[in-house]
Amino acid sequence: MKAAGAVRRVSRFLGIQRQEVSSYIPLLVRLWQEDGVWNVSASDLPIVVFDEDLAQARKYFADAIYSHFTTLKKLGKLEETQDHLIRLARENGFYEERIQPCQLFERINYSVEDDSLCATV
Amino acid sequence: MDKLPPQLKWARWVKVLEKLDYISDKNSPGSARTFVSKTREPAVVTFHEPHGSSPIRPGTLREYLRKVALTRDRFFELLEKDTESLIDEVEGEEEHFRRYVDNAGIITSLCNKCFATVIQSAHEHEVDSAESLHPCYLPETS
Repeated sequence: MKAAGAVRRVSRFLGIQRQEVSSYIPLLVRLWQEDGVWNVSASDLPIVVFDEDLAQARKYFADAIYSHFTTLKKLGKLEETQDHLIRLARENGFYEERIQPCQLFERINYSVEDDSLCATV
Repeated sequence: MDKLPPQLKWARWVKVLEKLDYISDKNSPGSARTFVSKTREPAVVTFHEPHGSSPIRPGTLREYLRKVALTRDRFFELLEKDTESLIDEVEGEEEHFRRYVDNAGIITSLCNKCFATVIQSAHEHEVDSAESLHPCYLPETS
């Protein structure tokens, strides 16, 4: 997948070796389809991309992360952002095992009426 | 509450960001565009510049506004103040051609018949002139 190239680029840029798994920066990302396009938005960073094709939108997102972090580094704000993201990830429980990279999650609402369960998909 | 426009050109969104004091970081790779503000939070925001004429749809725009902490009312104010004349005057007057304006103010004119790029220029009179000489619509001479 092309996004892997971007991941390697980000790692190189951040000075992270591939074996230093503990150095990764976890980002929770929301993906949804609306008005004929896939939107990809970082939950805790102002990064949003879109495309009609989901795979392409994900690739754009990898580029956007690289661009965003490059600018943060230039401004001397990278470390503070990284710490913030790791703290949020730990608080929200997706830093370690609960959410693996590139897994998609969706919220489905259940309602209970007259002893019957209804799921809204 | 006002409805968001069904389609918004990228150039118009960039103008809104500029009115909010965001400046484009010229070194953004690919189609990612990162903007920096010295006065506003968030100080760094990144969006995707769509290719060609692909517009920003309402669902995406809603997320954009949320990310830059901009209310709809304020967005419409900024949209009307400076950008409407810039884009809408350039576009749509002549249905033989389509015009787009990029971040740097360069107008690209495309022929609706042969789909060729007629001209790229920052000067509207040059675009007018090139369009008037474009072979697809020149009057036939016997």
